[in-house]
Amino acid sequence: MSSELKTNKVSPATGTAFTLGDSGDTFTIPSGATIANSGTATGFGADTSLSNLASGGADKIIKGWVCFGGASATIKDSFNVSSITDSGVGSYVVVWDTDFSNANYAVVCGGDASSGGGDYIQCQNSSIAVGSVNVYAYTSGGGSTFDPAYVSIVAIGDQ
Amino acid sequence: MRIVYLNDKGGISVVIPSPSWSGTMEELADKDVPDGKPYKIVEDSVIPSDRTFRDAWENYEEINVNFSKAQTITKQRLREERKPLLEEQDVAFIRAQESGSDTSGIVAEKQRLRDITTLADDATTLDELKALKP
Repeated sequence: MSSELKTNKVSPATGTAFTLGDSGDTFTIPSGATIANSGTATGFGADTSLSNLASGGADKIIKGWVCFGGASATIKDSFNVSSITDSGVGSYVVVWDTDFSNANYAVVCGGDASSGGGDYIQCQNSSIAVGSVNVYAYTSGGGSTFDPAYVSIVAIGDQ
Repeated sequence: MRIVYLNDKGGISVVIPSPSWSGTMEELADKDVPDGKPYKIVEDSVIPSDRTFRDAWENYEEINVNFSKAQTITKQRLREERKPLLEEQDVAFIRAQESGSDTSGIVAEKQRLRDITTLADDATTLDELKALKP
């Protein structure tokens, strides 16, 4: 037997709390319906949404990235980067807008090769500072530097 | 806008602001130019678009190319460009020897390639340096 209760408000008969159903019951919110929470909801499990990662999982998110043209010396797009410095052919400095809390953060770099194979892009460990990282693009064998068409840098660590 | 300054290697560093930078160029210079380095804020157009002799740039007040450094850069380029050509001549030389053919032309070409860097010493303009090929 089922019935439909129509009311504008449900309140405790005594005190300030009331219970819906019993253990094992399931309450369904139909598709298209909305629950609007203007107060505090507890016991729904951890908030794993992206918007909560900064407070709940800061170690998991990327703290800074940039994609720039080495040959054109232009920044295509970035996050948490205030500038790059073109120090010469194949030599750049990425300066973070908000510094890292220490120099033990991870940096991943990549980009275009020149016409020859075996070229590589390097972020030297000794150049990683809390506020910046040096990036170098070397031709095969490391004999000389070159300007890649584009360079991408991603950094993850504590801030 | 760009910020230029003389770096520790004697070359010119160019600071390029991120598109998301919301401060002034002076604030960016305070933040991103190494402490104590004199700098200059310039229009983008002041920065040479030709990077052929990028590592020979000097004088952050008015960027120009150091000709002596440009000659050195050109010599390095010529050495890299002649390397496969010399290797080709080495192969040709061995084959000529094996077949008992005349090697004088190959020897002359190898010597021309070895001497190619001296052409950079003889050049008097940047265009002449750029035009040099092995």
